[in-house]
Amino acid sequence: MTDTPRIGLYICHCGHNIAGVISPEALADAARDLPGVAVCQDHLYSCSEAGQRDIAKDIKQFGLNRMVVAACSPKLHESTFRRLLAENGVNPYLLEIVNIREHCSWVHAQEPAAATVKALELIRMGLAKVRDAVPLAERQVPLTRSALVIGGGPAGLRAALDIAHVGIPVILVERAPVLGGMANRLYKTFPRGQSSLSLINPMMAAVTLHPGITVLTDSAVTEVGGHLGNYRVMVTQARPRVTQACDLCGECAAVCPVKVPADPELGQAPRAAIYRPSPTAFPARYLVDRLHCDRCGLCVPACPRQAIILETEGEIEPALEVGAIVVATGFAPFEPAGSRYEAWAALPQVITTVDLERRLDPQGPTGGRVLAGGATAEPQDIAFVMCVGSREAEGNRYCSRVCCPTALKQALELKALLPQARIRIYYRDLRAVKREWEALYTRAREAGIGFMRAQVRDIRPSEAGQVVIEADQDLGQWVSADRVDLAVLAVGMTPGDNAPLREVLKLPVGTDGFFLESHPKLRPLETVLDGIFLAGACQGPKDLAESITQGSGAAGKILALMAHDTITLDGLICAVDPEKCIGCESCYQECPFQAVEMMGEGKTRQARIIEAACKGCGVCAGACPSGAVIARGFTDEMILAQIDAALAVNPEKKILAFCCNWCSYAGADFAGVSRMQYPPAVRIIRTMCAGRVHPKFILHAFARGAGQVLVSGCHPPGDCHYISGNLRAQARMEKLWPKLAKKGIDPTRLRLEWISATEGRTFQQVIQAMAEKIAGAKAKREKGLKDWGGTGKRGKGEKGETQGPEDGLP
Amino acid sequence: MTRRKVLICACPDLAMDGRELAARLKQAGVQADVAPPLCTPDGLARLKKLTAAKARPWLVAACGPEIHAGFFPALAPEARLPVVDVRSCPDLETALGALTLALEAREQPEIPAVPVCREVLVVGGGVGGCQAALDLANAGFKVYLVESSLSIGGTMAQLDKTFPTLDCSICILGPKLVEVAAHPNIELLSYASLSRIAGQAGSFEVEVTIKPRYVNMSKCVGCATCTTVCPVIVPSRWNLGLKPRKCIRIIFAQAVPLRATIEKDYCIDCQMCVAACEHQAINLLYRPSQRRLTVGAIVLATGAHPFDPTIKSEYGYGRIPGVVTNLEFERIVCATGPTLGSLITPEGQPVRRLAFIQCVGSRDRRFLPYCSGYCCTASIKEAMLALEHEPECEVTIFFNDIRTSGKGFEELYLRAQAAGVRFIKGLPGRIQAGDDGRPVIGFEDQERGGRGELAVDMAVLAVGLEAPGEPLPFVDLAPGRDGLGFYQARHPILHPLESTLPGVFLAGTCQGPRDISETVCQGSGAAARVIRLLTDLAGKS
Repeated sequence: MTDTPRIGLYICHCGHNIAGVISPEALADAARDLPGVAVCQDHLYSCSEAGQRDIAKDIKQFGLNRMVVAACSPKLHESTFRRLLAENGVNPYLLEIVNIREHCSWVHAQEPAAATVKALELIRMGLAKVRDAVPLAERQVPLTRSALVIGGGPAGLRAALDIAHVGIPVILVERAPVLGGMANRLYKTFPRGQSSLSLINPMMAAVTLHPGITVLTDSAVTEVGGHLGNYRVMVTQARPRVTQACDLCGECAAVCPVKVPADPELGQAPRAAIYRPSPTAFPARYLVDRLHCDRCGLCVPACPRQAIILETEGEIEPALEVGAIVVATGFAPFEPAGSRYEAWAALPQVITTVDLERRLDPQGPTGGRVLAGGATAEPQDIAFVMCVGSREAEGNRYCSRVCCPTALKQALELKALLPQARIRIYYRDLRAVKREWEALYTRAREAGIGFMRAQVRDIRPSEAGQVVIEADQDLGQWVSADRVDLAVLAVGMTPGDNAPLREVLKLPVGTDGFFLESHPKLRPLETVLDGIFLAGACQGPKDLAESITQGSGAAGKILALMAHDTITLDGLICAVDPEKCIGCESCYQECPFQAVEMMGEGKTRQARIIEAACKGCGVCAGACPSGAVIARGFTDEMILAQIDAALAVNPEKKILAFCCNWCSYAGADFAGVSRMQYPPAVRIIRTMCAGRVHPKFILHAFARGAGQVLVSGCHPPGDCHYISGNLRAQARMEKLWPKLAKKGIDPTRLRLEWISATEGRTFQQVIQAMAEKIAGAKAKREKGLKDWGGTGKRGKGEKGETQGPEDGLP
Repeated sequence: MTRRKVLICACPDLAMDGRELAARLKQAGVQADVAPPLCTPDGLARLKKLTAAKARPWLVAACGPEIHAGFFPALAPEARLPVVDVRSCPDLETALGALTLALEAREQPEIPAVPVCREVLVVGGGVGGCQAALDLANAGFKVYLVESSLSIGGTMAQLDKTFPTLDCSICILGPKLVEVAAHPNIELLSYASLSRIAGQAGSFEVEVTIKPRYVNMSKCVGCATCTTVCPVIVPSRWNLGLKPRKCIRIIFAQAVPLRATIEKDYCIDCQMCVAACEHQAINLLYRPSQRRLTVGAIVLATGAHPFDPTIKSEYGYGRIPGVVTNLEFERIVCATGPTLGSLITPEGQPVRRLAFIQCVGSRDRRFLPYCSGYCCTASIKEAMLALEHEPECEVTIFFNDIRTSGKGFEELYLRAQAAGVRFIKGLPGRIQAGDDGRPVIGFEDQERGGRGELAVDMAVLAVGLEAPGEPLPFVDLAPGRDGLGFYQARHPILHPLESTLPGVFLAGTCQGPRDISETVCQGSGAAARVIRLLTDLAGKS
C-alpha cells in the first residue's frame, strides 16, 4: 500500500481558542510546502458544517488520500473527521488529529512564540505519522445466534428465559442433578417472607417447558475455545443410569437395600442408593448414587418401565457452538468445618443459618421443628452469631451482605414459631442496606429480639445441654457469658469451587475469589473476555433480587449482541508479520487478552493474532524483539517517524512523552481544559496503552538526543484499560533503567509516571519537573550527581508514588 | 360455557388452606381438587393430564403472571388455560369470590391486539438511563432519551471519585455520555420535560416539552466565547452554589450535548453574547417546543434527590459555614470544582480536622426511615480523598453501623482504618459554632463511653437519598409509588425492574437508593425486560 501521499492539512482557529495564541495563518504558510501536503487551509471552526463542506470539496478537487487536522483533542472530533472521510470515499483511518488546543494554545498562553513553534512541530509529527498510515478495515466477525448459560440457579434461570424468549436458543448447563441452585435450600425469602418454592419453581418449570432452552444437568463445561460471537464449548455430562422412561413411581427405591444416612445440610432425609434428588426441583428423575450403589441389581427388575441400566458408564460429551456465554455459577455457603469455627460447629447445639433454613421448612427433614441436637423440647434461648466466615482478619475479608437480612428474617420466623423464646443477635455492624431490609430490622426490634454489638470469642459446652457464648461487648467494653439452647452461625457466601471453570474460561477472579467483572461500575456484567458475561453471586455476594436483576442484565447484553448478524470491531488491532516473526512467544505471554496463538512447531513456530479477541492495545508490539508485530494505527514506523520529527531541532531541550490514550493523554487534555500552564518543551506521542511503548523507541529518542523521555499510563493496578498493560510498561522500564546506565545515558532522563484522566495538575507538575531537569542537566552532569531529585511535590489526588529509576540501579 | 371444575394449586404461599377452599367450592356444587404445587414436577404432571384431556371446563386456581414466569401459557399455548390468581388473595372469602366470578364468566374476552411500537422512551439521563438506552439502541431499538437537565450524566457527573476503586467519576462516565450522543439509534432530548403520557404497553403516546436554550443546537459549537462576554454572574447550581457562573453557560466541561444555554430568569437582554457568537447561534426569542412520540415501552430512570439537611436543624447546616453535605464535599475536592480541587473550607481556610457524620436523614423515623446504603462507603471514600489532599488531616467518621456491604467495600473500610481514619460509634447529637465560627461536634462515644466535643474545620453530612418529588404526567393509571415516593417494583424479587404499570420499567435510584454498579446492572436488566415485552407483544399482534 504505497500510494503517493496527498495530504490535506487543516488548521483550526477554534474561534480564539487556538487563534488567540497561535496564528493559524502563519502555521498554514509554514506548513503548506511540507512534504506530502497537497493542500493546506485554515478554518474558523473545522468541525463546523462550513469547515466540513470546504474539506469535502478539497478531497474531490485535490484527490486527497490522507488528512491531518490540527485542532482540538482527538477525543472530541476524531470520530467527526473519520466520518467525513468515509463519506467522501477515503478510508477513515488515513487521518491524524494534531492536538494544538489542549496540548498547546491553552497551556502555553503566555508564550505565543514558543507555542507557534511547538504547534508547527506537532503538525510535522502528525504529517510524519499519517504518511505511513494504511487503510484499515473494520472487522466483521460472524455471530452464532445461540447462548450458553452456565449455572441453573435463579440468575441463570432468569438469563436463560430472557434470552430464549426473544427467540435465541439457549443451552443451560448445571453441575447438580437438578436446577434451582441454592434457592432449593431456602424455605422463605426476605424481605416479604414469600416461599422460595413459589418464586423459583415457576422459573424452573418455564425453563423446562421452553422449546428454545436445552437443559443439561449433571454436566460440566470442560473446554471453551473461540471468541466473541463464536465460542466452541465442550460439555461433559454423566451418562444417566435411569433413562427418560422413568415415571417417578419409586418402586426402585423401595427395593434398594442400601441406606444412605441423612444429610441435613442438603435437606436430605435418609435415602436409598437410587433416589430422587429433590421432590420439588426440575428435572424430576431418579438417580443412581454411584458412590453408594453396590450394584446388587434388585432395582432393575423392580422397575416396571425397564428404565434402569446399571452398567451405563462414561460420559456424553456434547460439543456446542454458541455466540455468547453467561456465567451464573452462584456461591457456596461458608463451611465452618476446617475453619476456626470447627469446634463451635461440632457442638450439637450449634447449627448454621443454612441448617436452620431447612429445619424451618415444614416439608424439610425435621418437618418444620427446630430442635437443638438431641433435645426433645424446642429451644427457649436462641442466639445468632453474625459474620461467621465474613469480615475476618484472615480468610474471607469481605462482607457477605445477605447474612444480616437472613438472620433478621429467621429470627422473626423463630419468634413466630416459638413466641416464648428469647432470641438475641450478636452482630458487629447490622447491615440492612436496603429499604425493606431496614424495615425487617425495625420489626425484629419491635418483636423483642435482642441485639448485641459484640465479637463472639468462644462458644463452649455448658451443663444441661446448653452452650455458653462468650463475647466482647463493644458497647461498654465488657465480656459477656450467655447460656443458650441453640446457637445459629450466620455463615457467609464463598465463591465455592469455581477453580475448574476458571481454568476453562481463563476468567480472572478478584482477591475475594469471586469472578472479576470488567469494570466495577461501567461494565459490571461484562468480563475482560468479550461475549462472556457474569450474573448473580458468582461475581460477589448478592440477594435473590440482585441476582435475578443481573440475570436479566446479562441477557440484555446478549440480546444487544444478537440483534446483529455480525459484530463490527474497529480496525485498530495488531497483526504479525510472518517474515519477521521468530516464534519467541513474547507477545503470546504478554497479551492481556489471550488474543495471540502460537501456530506450528519448531522452526516454523510463529505467532498469530486472533483478530476477534484483539483489543488493539499494542502490548504485544511493545514486547516484540524482532519488530514483527504491527500495531495498526500505531506502528513502529509511525512512532519512530513521530520521534524523528519531534526531535529534529534542539532535541536536548525536548521532553518526549508517551501518553496512553485513556488516562495520561486525557490527563494532558484535562490540564489543557483547566488552562494549567507548563513549559512548551514537551512533545506528546499518543499510544493506546503505555504497554505499547517498546524500549527501542526510548533508545531511539536518546540516540536522537532527547533531553528527557516520559512514559505515562493509568494508575496500577486497576485503572489500565487493558488489564495490565501499565504493569508491562513498568517491567520494561525497570529493565531499561540499568541498561541506560550501562550505555552511559543518565537513567534519570527516563521517567515513568501514572497520570489519570483527571490529574491535569500532576501532568503539569511532571512536565515542569522534567523541564527543570533539562535546564539543570548540564550542571548536574558536571557535578556528577546521580540521585534522582524530582520535585518532591505530589499532585492533588495523585494515587501512586512517583516512579524513579533507583530500584533498577546497582 | 361456564366451568364447573377447579384445580387448586397447593402453593405454600396461599393465605388460606387449599383444602378448605376446595370444601367451600364443593358446597357450592363445584368440583374442586387440590393438586401439589403446580410448579413442581408432580403438580406439572397433574396439569399436563388435565390439558391432555381437553381441560376446557377446568379453571386453575394458582398465582398471577408476575409469579408464574409464563409456564402456564407455555404448557398449553393454544388452549389458554384459564388461571385465577388466588395466591395474592388475603383470605378465603376473597379467593372464593375471585373464583366464583371466574366460574360465572363467559369465555375470557380476547384482548384486542394493538400495533406494537418498537421505539422506547427512557426518562432520565443518569448512568442508569444511559445504560438502558445504550443496550436498547445496540439491540436495534430506536430510543428517545429525555433528560430534564442541560446535560446527561446525572449525579455521577458531579462526583469527584467513585468507590471502592477511587477512580475518577467523569473520566469513566464521559465516554459513555459521548457514546449515547453519537449513537444513531438514540435521540437525545435534553432540557426537556414530559407533559403527557397516555396509552398502554406497546403503544404509549408521549408529549415532550423542550425548554428553550436560546441557542441554536446545530450552530453552537460549544466554544464558550459567549460565557466570557456575559456580564451576569450567578451561582452555579451544578456546583451546588459553591462556584459562580455566567447567565449564559455550558453546564460543565464534559457536558453532553456540549452547548451553551441562557438562563432567561437572569438574562438582562444586553445582547453581548449575541454579538460575540461567531456562529450567530444565539437567539433570545426562542420559545418552548413540543414533540409527540409514540413508544412501545418506557424506562423510568429518574433518580433520587439528596436529603436536604437544613430541616435536621441540630446539625447547623446552612448556619455554620463549615458544615457541608457530602455532595458539596465531592465538588470541593474535584479538580473542576469551585476550589479547583483544593481541600479548603467554604470560607477558604485549610482543613486540618475533618469529620463525617453518617445517617443524616437516613434511618431516622422523622425523615427517611430506611438506610440509604451508599453513604457509609461514600464517606470512607471521601475520607481517603481528604487524606490524599492533606495527608496530615485528622479525619473522624461518626457512625451508627458501618454498612460496607458491596464488592470491595469492606476492603476500602479496612484501608481507611489502616490509613488512620478514626471511627467513632455514635451519631452526634448536635453541631454548634465554636468561638471562631468553626463547627464543634458534640458526641457520645458508645464504645469507649463518655461524651466529648470535637472542633473541626469542616463537618461533612452524609445525607441520605430521598425519592424524586414530582409525579410524571400519566393520564390514566400511573406506576405505583410507595408511601415515601419511590417507584414500586411489580415484585420485589422476581420483577425488580418492572413498575406496577405494564410497559413501564424501572432502573436505578428512582425505586430506592443504590450504588452506581447496581444502577448500571439495572439499566441493562431493564433493557432486556423491555426487549422481552416488545417481542411478546409483537408476537401477539
